[in-house]
Amino acid sequence: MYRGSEAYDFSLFEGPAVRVPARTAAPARKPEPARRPAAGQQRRPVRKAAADARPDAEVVVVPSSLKKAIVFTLAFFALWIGVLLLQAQNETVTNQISEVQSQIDIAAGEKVRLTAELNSMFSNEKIDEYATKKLGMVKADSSQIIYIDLTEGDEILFSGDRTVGDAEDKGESKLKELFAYLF
Amino acid sequence: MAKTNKNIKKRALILTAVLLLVGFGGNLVRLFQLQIIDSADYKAKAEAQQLSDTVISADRGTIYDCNMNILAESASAWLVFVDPSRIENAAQSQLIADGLGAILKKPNAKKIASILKANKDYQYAKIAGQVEYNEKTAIQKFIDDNDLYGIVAIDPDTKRYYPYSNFASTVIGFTGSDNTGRAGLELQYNESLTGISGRIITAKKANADLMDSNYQSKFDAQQGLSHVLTIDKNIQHLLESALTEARAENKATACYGIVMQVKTGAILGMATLPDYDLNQPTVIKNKETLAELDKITDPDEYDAAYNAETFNMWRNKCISDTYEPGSVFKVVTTCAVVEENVLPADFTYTCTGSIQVADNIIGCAVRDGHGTEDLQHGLMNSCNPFFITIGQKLGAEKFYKYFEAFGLTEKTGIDLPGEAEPKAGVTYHPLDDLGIAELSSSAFGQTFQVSAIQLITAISCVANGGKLMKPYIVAKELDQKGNVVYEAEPTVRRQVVSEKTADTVIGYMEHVVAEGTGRNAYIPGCRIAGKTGTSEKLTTDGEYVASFCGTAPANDPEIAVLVVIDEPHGDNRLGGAIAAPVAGSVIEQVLNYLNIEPMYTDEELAEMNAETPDVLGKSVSEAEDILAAGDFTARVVGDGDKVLTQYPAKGQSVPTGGVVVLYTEEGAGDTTAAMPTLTGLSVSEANSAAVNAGFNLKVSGTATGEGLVAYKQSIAPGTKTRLGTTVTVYFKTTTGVNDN
Repeated sequence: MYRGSEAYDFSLFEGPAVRVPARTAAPARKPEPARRPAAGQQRRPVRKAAADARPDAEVVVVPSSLKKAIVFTLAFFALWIGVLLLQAQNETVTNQISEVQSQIDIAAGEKVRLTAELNSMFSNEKIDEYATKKLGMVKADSSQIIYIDLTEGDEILFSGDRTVGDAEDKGESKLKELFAYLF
Repeated sequence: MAKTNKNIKKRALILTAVLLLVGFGGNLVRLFQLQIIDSADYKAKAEAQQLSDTVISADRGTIYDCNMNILAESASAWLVFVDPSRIENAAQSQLIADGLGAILKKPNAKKIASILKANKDYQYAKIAGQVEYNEKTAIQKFIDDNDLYGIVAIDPDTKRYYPYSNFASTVIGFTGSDNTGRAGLELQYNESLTGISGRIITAKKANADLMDSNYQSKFDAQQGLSHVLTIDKNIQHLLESALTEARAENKATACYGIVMQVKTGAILGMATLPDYDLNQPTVIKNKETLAELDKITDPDEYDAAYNAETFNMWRNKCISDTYEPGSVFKVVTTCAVVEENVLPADFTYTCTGSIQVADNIIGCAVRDGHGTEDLQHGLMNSCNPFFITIGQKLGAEKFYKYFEAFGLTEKTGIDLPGEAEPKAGVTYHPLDDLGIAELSSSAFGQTFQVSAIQLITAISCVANGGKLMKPYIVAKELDQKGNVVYEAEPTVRRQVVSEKTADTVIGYMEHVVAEGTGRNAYIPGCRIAGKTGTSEKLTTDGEYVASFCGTAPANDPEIAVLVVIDEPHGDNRLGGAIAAPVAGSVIEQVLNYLNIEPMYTDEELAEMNAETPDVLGKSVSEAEDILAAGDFTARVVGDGDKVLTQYPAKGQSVPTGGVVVLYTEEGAGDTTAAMPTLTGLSVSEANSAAVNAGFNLKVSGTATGEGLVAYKQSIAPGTKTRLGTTVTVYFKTTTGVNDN
């Protein structure tokens, strides 16, 4: 104890001893079972072309997970850029549509204004004035209007014994029609 | 020791807890206040900050006539405003005033300068609305050239166009600068015409710029409904032309008229004169009104008077004004008497020229009296003592029953604003007030008032077999795709009199036109049934109202026409003399337009036109004989023996006894002559004058009766006209048409 105080008695903080095994040899492994090739499968023959014989070089092994990550990242960037481009295009087209819509609205307004101006030039009052003062016309009165009664439809008129459209006439007229059609 | 540690720990915990409680508690309370109590406010603030809200104004619906001719249509326009607070100096202010004034013209530069001065501390001062595209483009250029961005700006606006200016102005009405209806149909149907505005809500960025369209929600505007009227543009024009002529001829204060389809109550035409230009509704153009206003010297008084006249100008007198109907009302009394079978079949009354009613003596229009009359002749002669007598026989109760049944104590319900409301004791006598004097005067159409729409509806009821219809003016409402969302159906209010009574009275009315006071409305073949009216205005001393209400064709009435001439100051003020010819002319033209074939009596046919025979190639003497046999007059031009050309050509319709010009040499003589003056002449005088000058005369209107005088001719005097041309001359009489 330091200075006689339990506060400085570090032995009080010492726990029971724990044995830590020393590492010496590699851990024991279970032997791998022998693999048989599946039915139909053949072992790939090992090719060794004489002309291409090379001395064995040092092989760099790229883990497959990294490859996947790279591919995925590239795909993601490509997609992102694609989306950005499409958005930009969308924005441009939307703006174009707005501008064209605005022009349509202006044109529609002008159409109304011009139609109103045109109609006012062709008002009944102006037509009357032009017809009577410039052209010297007068309005028709009732006696100048002839009414034709169409309520009874077409009639076949008979004249004596001969009727309009009897067999001979019909045949002759049909032949004439056919001749006219062909030539 | 351990106990001390425990205490310390405990105190530390308590202190920590207190600190935590105080610290976070305050936050919790504040959070509760912000997120629960004041959440609505903060949500609104956040929305205002984060969202942009743009209103898409809905297009106002279009107004069409029954044939889909556009009578009122809206289009995009622009509003020009200025931010005066950003004007740098007086020079810039003057530049803006001069520039905008030069482009807009109205307001002018001086007015714009005063607007800028008055609003110099404000950020918004409206300069002009409803600016059209050309002006807007010029203003935009002005802004660009003078770098006035943020000072002068342009906003969207709308403008209402009325292509035909003052056509049916008191019916259509107009809109104000805020695009809301102020009068007429524009006011009555303002809600359905306006539609519902849309919105575009867009998210804003931190710098208050708008996000792109992906962050936008659009709510389309619901366009206003278009309205198709029962008004026919052509019939309206016929009515307006006739009233314009009548007003000028009779120097009347006002003229108004209605054309109604009797079987449905549809209004085919409604006009009030003087009228106004719908594109400039606050501008008075009537010369007489302006002349009266110019007499006022005080500017404030002038402004007040100008405003009052403007309101008067907008007034649709056909529905808003009431007047004493006069003798036209005798039709209602006649219907009541016939329906109630009050008079025996052989009833007659001898008019001696006056009648005593209580303490008063009421005179007849004919001082010596009409003599003995039955009901038909009483109506034909428009005899006041006769109607006082039958009114008394009918009695107050029955009289009032029919007065009410014909709709004269209530509004007609027409879909126009400002219809005059009848008031008992003010515009008409209630039953309790119908003493002998009131009953007697009411029986012949005096001492009470009705509106023109009420009167024509009542007369149309008689023409419609006794069925009282509700008049209407909007036939259909269409959405922006043209689909019909509403269609008006004719409404029968009630059966007032039996069909038999109605037919009987229509027969009497036809005699009024054929032989009675309405003879100036007579048109061969049209079979007009009508009644004249001349009433004294109780509200204005010495002024009269002349009117005529007729329906045609009498055998199967299609239309009714009412013409009212208010305060005529011409040579005559009788309804039979000045209103009847106008109504007759309108009825004839409307029937022709509607292709309703005239039906001529044998007498009419005998006086009708004859067809010119073919005399081409004949010798002059032969041709003259042929023409004489057909009762034509030959006029030979040239010295040749044979007829080379005839005018009118063969088969043309000319009045019986007309002239056929025979040309016997090529290029022989002048083939034209100056049309003589035929107005003011009698029928025979006019015929002689026309034939002697080488023209054919066609008589329009009544051709029989005393005192016929020509008042209008279809070809103006002095006009170089081809020989043989038919000139139509209109005749009317002032004899036997007094119904006062």
